[in-house]
Amino acid sequence: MKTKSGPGPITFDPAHPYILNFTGKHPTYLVADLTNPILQPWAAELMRKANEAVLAGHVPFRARESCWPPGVPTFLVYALATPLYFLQTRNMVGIFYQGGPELRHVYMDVPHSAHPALSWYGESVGHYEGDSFVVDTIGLNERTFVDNYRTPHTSQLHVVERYRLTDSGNMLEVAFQVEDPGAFTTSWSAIQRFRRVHRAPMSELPCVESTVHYFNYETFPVPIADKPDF
Amino acid sequence: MAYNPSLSKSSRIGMASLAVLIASAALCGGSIFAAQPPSPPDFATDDVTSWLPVGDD
Repeated sequence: MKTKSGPGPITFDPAHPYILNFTGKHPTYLVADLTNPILQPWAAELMRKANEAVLAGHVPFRARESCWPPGVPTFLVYALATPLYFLQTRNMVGIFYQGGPELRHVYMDVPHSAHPALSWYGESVGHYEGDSFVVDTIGLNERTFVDNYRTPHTSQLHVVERYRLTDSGNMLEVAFQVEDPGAFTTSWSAIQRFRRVHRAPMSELPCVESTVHYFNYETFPVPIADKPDF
Repeated sequence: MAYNPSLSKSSRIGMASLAVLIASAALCGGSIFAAQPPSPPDFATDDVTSWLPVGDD
């Protein structure tokens, strides 16, 4: 969601309001507001075509739905009904979604590599700053989007997240800043919030364990390995 | 108990010392506590603590 001031993330087109599932109303797919000035022309053009496909009745790509890694910062809006878990150690902080499972490694109190290999979650380094956990991420490949509106990015993407507890520890607020001179006209900021829940220890929920058939429902294909792991 | 001047004198000295001690502790302790950085956030206080997104996406 948007911060109080400054350039903010892509949101829905007011002409096509986004309606979540389970609201009692007919849910809709996300149609991006392309008037947001953060977009460079090539990015806006890609998104215009994606919007047109949605409005023509096609099912848009969403990482979670097709079991693809979401990248950063989409990791923060990856799943709406599946909780996020943390593993905090001295040298590494792990952030997990049990569905997938999807896992980010944040290496503590170390600098970035000079030339990190590009990957789905890039290279994240972190440190504690007062009451905040600060995560700096670079080295993200170009196979992900920065949100669920299919906003593209380049390998110049740089994301800084600040995690902190609010509401007496019952809420987790993540304020993040996004820079990518290859895709955006300016840096922009957003906030995502989470509420603490006590359900059960993290369990393993494979996302692409078996053949998936959605009765001809048009979805982006799930990842398939070219060769077996063993 | 009968009045005892020596006890009274030592009591006065003791009270003064105690006051100085308390004042010193308040001053030094206050500055020590004020210098304490906030604790790093703990997002995993137990193995069932997890976090659900709030709001839209």
